[in-house]
Amino acid sequence: MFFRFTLLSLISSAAFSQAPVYSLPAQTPVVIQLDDEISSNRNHQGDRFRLHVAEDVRVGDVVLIPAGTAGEGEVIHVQKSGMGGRAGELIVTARFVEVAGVRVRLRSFEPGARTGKQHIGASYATSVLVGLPGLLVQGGQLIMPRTMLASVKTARAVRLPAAPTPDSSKERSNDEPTID
Amino acid sequence: MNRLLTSAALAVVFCAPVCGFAQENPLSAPRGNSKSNTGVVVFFRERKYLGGGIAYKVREGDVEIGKLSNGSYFTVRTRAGKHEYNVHAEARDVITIEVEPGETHFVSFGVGVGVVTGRPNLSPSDRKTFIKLQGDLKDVTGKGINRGAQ
Repeated sequence: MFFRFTLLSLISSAAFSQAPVYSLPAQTPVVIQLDDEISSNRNHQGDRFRLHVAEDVRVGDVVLIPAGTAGEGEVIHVQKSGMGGRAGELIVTARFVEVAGVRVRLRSFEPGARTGKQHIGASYATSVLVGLPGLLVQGGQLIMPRTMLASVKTARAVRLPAAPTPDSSKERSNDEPTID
Repeated sequence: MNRLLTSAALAVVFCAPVCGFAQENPLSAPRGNSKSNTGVVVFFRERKYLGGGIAYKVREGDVEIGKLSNGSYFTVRTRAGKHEYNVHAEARDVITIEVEPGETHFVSFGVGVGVVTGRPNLSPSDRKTFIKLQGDLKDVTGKGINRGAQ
């Protein structure tokens, strides 16, 4: 009896561990969406922000990273808009998304580097006309809005199981016990 | 004599990739090739009347990496990772860039209004802006810098 039970558990664990795993190559394009607003006048270098995958990432017909998978990014460079018409600046990057307990590292955030509206011309013209007050002309701050879409790439190859499809999760939920 | 020439040619071939100031076409750098652990940063300065007479040195820490006169650009190949570049005159400006393997990053240089002289500013830019201006810019990679400067 004990032998039969051990054999059964071994077979079932082997079957579970052999769930197909797919290789997602490095440089695979991923479309992400910001979940936090990033502002050149509020954020600081090193700040982390939330993001999620906007479109399923597939290898063939298999979804490996489903839309909605959460991840994180980092502010690399920030400069507040300032006097003299100086515009706000931001450089940000995506760090990772986490799927099935695996952190998929990301890189190449596009458009990761941006500059706000410069008012240097206005500042210069004011300086010529009225002198030092020209320095008080403020540049535009830069905001990357929540829900902004960006494209990134996977930083290295990673092996992932297929993500559960909506159909399979429906089947599973039917099997789950319900409490009346 | 032939052996000497061959040795010299080999030295040039093997030393060029490790020299950070080697001239290269910034737009021919392979995009997204992560095999090498280096990337390229292109610094460029649009030709403008304001502050046009002064050339500014761009440094990483205390080390000069290039000098931008009005209407010029230079390229630096450097190791992947975070790099902090600065310029200073009346004011100091710093830009932090995370260089990614096989990628080319673009930094534009501008001069703002200052009390005595212009205030230099390094700001993030992109390939499209650089391509638009490149015809009017002079490549000054490796020129006018004091490599021993600390």
